[in-house]
Amino acid sequence: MRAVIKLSKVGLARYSSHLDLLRVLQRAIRRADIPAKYSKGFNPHMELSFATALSLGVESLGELVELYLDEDMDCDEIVRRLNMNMPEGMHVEGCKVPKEGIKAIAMLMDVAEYEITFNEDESEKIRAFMESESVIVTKRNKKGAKDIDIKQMVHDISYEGGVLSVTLTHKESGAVKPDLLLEAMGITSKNRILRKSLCQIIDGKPVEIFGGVL
Amino acid sequence: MLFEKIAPLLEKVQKPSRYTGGEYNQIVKDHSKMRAKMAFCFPDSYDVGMSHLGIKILYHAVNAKDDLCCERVFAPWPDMEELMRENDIPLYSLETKTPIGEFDVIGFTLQYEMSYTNLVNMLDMGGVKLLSMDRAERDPIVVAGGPCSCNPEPIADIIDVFLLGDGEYSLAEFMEKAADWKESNKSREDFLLECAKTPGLYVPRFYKAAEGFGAVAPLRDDVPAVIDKTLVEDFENARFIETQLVPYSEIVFDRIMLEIARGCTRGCRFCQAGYIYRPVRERSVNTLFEQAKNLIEKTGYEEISLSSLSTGDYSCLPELAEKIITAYRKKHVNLSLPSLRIDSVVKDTLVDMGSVKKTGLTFAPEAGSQRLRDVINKGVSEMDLLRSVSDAFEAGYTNVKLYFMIGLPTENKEDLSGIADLAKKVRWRYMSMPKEMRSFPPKISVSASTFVPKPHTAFQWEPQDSLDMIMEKQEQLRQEIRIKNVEFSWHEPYTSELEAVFSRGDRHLSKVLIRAHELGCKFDGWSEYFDYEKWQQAFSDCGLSIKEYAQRRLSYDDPLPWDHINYGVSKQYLISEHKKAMEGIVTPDCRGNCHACGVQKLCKGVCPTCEL
Repeated sequence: MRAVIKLSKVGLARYSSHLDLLRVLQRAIRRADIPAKYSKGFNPHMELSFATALSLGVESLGELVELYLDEDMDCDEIVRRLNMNMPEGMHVEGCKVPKEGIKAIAMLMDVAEYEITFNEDESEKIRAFMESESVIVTKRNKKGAKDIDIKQMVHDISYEGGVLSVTLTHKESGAVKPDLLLEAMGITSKNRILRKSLCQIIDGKPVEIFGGVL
Repeated sequence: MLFEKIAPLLEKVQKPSRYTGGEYNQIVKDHSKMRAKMAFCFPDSYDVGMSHLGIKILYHAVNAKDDLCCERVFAPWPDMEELMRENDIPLYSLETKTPIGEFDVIGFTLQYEMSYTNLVNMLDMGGVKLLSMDRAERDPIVVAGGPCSCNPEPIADIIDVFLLGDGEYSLAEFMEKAADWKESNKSREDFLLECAKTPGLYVPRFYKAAEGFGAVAPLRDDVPAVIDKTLVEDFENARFIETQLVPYSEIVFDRIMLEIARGCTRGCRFCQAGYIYRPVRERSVNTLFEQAKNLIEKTGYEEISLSSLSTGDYSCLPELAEKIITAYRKKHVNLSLPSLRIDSVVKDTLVDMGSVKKTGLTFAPEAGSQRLRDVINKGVSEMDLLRSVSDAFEAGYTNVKLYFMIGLPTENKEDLSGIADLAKKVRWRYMSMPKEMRSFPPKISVSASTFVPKPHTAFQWEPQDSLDMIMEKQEQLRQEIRIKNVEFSWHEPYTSELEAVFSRGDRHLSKVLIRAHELGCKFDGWSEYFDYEKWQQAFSDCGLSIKEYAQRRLSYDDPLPWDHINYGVSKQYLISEHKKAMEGIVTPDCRGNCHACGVQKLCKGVCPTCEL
């Protein structure tokens, strides 16, 4: 059975790295006695994968995890049992069996929605960013550095009541992290970054993958 | 709330989840309902401390009481310490982020002498007075326990009360006592005196150290001249670990630990643990299996290790291993068996383990020649070792680690050459298997640590080699161990030298420790932080000599700074063991063969080892 879990990670749990999170979830699944499938071979591992990584320090309301089970199990039961076994700050928001023919979640993602708050008034810098035609930043990864126009990667941006809401490109082939956006804006006083959801663009609009696509 | 001040720092440090708490199975209690609260401090990093079995036992033993709480504190890594000091954040507990100074009791576990500066630094970070005598009426009571308490003197000026021996009952009892005191109007001094009269507790302020190096004597008639360790005789039922914390991040030993036995019957003459944890006590297969089942269900861990000083000696090892492997193979639970002694590896178990997980195997012959192995009473022959190694190779293992010690009493050049010879023979055991069994090259790691004479052992009178001698011996080994597939590693002798100083140290060293702390010494067990020059300065500032402490040869008649601490084995027995060592006479395993080491006097009935 293929299942997709929607997971939130807030508070203390935001300080665990992606690899840690994977381990934490695997152990929660084992405690919950959910019949996860293991790979064959010399070093069997649980067949479980996150749609995408979440940076250390970033909170999230909707990480998506694909899981394969040896036996069928009721989705509500999976949610109930997992939530009895989660450490502080982690919570399972839902579980679904994707419709027939749905690709790997990682392949569905187009954008991610974030909410960012600040310790100081950053409205000037944000407004300046929103009004510029293009903003070139250097994106660094393991392979090296390259200059990109980050404005091209921002699908939607608004600033209201001290909260910056932004939708950023987030594909398997390439994603923009909110830290890079803040760097482009010249902002250092971030308070909290919250990933609200992972979405697919359908008819030009972001649709939450868990709620609207699966 | 303190955490609001901590949170912004966490994005700037390595491994921030070390400082958050909130792990699965952590125990958080309402402080307003507690009779007494304890901050349990491990004077090393989170990753090391969380891997330690003792803290798991004691955390649950204290928290098992409804009106007592025990919260964890680890030494912040220097990056975090710097930020905490800059932002005036005191050292705090992980469970409730409470500054350690607000606890009734601050407890330290002493696993390793080189963590003493961290202990001092942690008190300092908590704003707690470093010296026992400077603490005010209602300041926290600073207690310590763990193996290094068998010679408490080097930190006797710092610690208010030592808990000697097994702590699973005595710590909670001590906490009850502290709670009663808190609710009374008795003075701190009266409370400490009451502790001094309680079996198993040592309160240094009521004892006077010798002017020079020598014995410690009571200052009053109403405190005991010799303090016996606490001994849990009914080990089978002394079970507290019903759950185990599961950290967010990976720690050093990230698995379930099942304490199958306590103590060791072998009597290796250099081994402090072998003497101070006597008598050997075992748990039954059924009890352990139940405990394993419970822990697997409550933690979700995928690995169990069977832990004890000498796992291979556990009477029912194959039965237990098979039971766990059979029951949990389907759940993908691995079993690992650490600290295997070379003559106790059970081939069937090995093969069975092989079907689940193949990691490297570790053997500890300790010395290169039979002569020296007889001196140290490592009752193991070359034949035993090579047979076990062959078994392991045949079962599919390719990685073998061999642990040796250099600088052992009576050691000569031939003994050292024996190390290289043994490594060659081990390699040959691999190469002489049929070719189809050798798909990978073997990896043989030889490591040599430096002998440290420890109190309460047969070698407590022996000097440690000088730094020059140790380095010369290491050079000889480097020259001789140039063997294909064999890797040689050694330890820097400087740390071992200071370990020797503090393990056989006296009360005069308390001031050196404080001085070393002032000079910035911390994490001395970590080579990246260990600074020998600072230590040299600390000793010279206090007018004491590192060499003198480390290289002191003592005689049987010398009064020793730890003579007033009784861990069961009598001095007379240690003398006879030392004499036998010098003559190369071995003492057989005491299982079914009692040598009357003295520990029977601490056992109300019969020594539990004699009953095994």
